[in-house]
Amino acid sequence: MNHDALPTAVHAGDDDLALMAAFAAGNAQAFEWLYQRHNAALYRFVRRLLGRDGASQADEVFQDTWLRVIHAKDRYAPQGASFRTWLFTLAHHRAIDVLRRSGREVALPEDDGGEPFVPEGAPWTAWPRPEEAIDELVFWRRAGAKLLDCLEQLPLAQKTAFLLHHEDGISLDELARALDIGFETAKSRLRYALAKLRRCMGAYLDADALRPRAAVGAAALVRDAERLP
Amino acid sequence: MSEDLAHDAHLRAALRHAPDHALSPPSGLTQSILSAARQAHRPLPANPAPPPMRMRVAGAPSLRDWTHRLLAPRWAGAWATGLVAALGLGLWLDLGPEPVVEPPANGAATDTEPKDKTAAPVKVAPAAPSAVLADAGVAVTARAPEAAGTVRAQAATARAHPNAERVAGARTRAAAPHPEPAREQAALAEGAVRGSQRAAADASQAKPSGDNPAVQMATAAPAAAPPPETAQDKAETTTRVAESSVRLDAMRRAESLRLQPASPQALLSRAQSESAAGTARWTWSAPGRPTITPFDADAQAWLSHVLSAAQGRWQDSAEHAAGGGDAVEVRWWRDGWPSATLRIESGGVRWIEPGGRSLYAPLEAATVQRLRSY
Repeated sequence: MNHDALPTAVHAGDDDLALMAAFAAGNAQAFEWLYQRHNAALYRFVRRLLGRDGASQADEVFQDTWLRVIHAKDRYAPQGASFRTWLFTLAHHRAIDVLRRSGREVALPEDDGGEPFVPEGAPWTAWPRPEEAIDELVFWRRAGAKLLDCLEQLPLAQKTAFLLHHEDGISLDELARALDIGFETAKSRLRYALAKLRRCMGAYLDADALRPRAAVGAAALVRDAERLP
Repeated sequence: MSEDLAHDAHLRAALRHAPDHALSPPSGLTQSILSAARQAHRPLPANPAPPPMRMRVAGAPSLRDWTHRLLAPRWAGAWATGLVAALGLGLWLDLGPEPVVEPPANGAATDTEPKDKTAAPVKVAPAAPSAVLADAGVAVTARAPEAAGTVRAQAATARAHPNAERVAGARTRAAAPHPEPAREQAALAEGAVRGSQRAAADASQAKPSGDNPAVQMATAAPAAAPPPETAQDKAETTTRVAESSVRLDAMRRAESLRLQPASPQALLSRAQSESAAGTARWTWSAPGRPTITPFDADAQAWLSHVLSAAQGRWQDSAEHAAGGGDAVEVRWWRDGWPSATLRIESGGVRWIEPGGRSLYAPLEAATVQRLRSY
């Protein structure tokens, strides 16, 4: 494609705002680059947000989100948030619509019943380092599968806060603005999400199972991993 | 931010190694989204083709919608204005310079004494002046004795002249679409009424003449009234009789004028004057020629010849059925608007105006043949 002839000449490495501006100016190629940059993360986010029960509606939410981006190209303004945050926020709102339409409860308590937050850091001390080498891959695969199970148990608001914060790396401030909630609310949601996930993960991944990094232990982990869905 | 809310590296590592981490949207979904993005920027055709007629008809307002729109109040005023303008234009185009006829100053004294018996049909239509006045827009407040006399006179007329009512009706109908001649007639009638005032003054001093049938007719009505007449009543009656006679005379003159070939002559005069001044463009279709040519001097001479041949022969066209298919039509246009039509029929010529009035003049066969070969 001859990019010189496009209304706004951009490149694949340009930032999201430049690509979005080029798309609004008539450069369809800019949208393709935006899509290639964010489609996998967004699809994951939608799948995880909807959970296993709503997996069949993930495609619909994903498509509607991008169509909203297309239709809003002329009205898009950063307003202090990145394009990625805006994109994930659109997906979040669309997911809530789908869940409500399907009759699933999305109303969430803000403080999770007043349960006090108790950090559970003990399991983490025995876990391998996150940047561990390939020989720890089995462990982390088990951990990832377990994390998906744990996410299923989170309320939608806490799940959203955790995914946006940890998966997509947005700050608490940005999270509060994106979800149109107060900073303390965002902070509370994230705190409860982390507590539940740590508890859930720690209960499954016993640190002692990882200490003897022997072949037997590794073989046991592999067997456990193979049993995972 | 507190330490516990910082990004948990272990959970993030678990997320990165989750089984769904390599998930990507289906290719069909991706193509659909990218196609939608391309569609959003597809340039529109410079000149989009008009929709098919069926679509346009389907999207067009229905007849009922148009009717509602045209009958809406905001359109009603426009329609009324247009109608009045069209009517005025039509009347203006139909208007010709009629010959000026001076109202008779002493018409009453002259016409109240019929000089020959042939004037009898004229004096037996006393209601016609009122009809003419009414057509001319003049409010006529008929007094009861006068109305009664009129009714009796009409009855007498009907007995004496069975065709009188039909003729009067035809005259009224013929006069209706031509308010301008009617106004002239009304002016004549009013002038005659003014003249009758003098005659009435004379009549109030003189005894009614027994030779005057109009006076006899008028005096017969008060005689039938129960109360005896006084001198004043007699004077009033005489005045009414004189007025009726004057109106009768005015009607006769107006009718005579109407039946005269005034319109052909008016057209000729108007065409001559306007053509000379260049204020209007007169054209015509010569007899036997399909083309429209200027109404020049030769053509005007031909029309003068027609008028001279038909002079004194114009009659009510209703009494003569239209000629056969061999008639030759001659038409005139003023600035492109139809002004008149002359049909050269086998037995004469028929003058037809746009308003519908028509006259007929019987001519000899040789004359007709000569007119056909222009």
